[in-house]
Amino acid sequence: MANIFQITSTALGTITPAVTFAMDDLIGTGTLPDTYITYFLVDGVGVEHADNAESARVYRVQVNIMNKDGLASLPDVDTAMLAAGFAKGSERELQKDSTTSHYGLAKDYFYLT
Amino acid sequence: MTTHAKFDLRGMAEYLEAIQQAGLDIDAAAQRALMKGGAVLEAEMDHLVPVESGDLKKAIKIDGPHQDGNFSFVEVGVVNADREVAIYGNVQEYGSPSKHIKAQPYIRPAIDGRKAAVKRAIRESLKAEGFVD
Repeated sequence: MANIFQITSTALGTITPAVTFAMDDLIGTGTLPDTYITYFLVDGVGVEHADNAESARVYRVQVNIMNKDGLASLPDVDTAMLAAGFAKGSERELQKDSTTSHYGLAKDYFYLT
Repeated sequence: MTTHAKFDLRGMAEYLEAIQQAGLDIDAAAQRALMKGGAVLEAEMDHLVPVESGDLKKAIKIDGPHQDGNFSFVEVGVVNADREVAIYGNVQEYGSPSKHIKAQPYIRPAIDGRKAAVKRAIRESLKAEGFVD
């Protein structure tokens, strides 16, 4: 069975038009793309137990959508994540980066296994 | 952007009403129970928060209990911190992708991981004061 990182990566890979994405950090030698996505696992919590064994777990994944042109028009992450089985959580604006001029929107998604 | 959790006793209205009718001081008991629940969250946030100077850890507090009519609540987390600590706390919780700063969340994992323990602490506090399940 695919783990949460594979599931997230596969989901983000279905976004059209394609957008550059990476886990944790987009590390490169050049400048950052105008639009890109990073994601990381916030936590994974067991939510159901039976016979001394965990039977269900919820993962919370944060997806950051970074864009130099503001936050009005962003890649459709919701459609990709919902299609992969995630549920939407809260979202918040990240502080604009004064050096790279990227705006950022951080969105939480939940995945039950 | 806030970096704290706020919780209350919504969803228990019927139960609380029955207790009130029994003549017990529900407001005071509810607030003590909320403080017990808040202490569980505060301890977990303290455990998870990244420590460099220690200022962020020191800023994690329980604010309350507060009462607004019949509504009692506490806030737990980075509450009333100065601007620098508040910004640092947000960057630790959510990260800063364009600055290549990896998040080290301490608020959301505390809430997600200790939700049941918070409810248990609230229930036990109320039971200890003579309220029944």
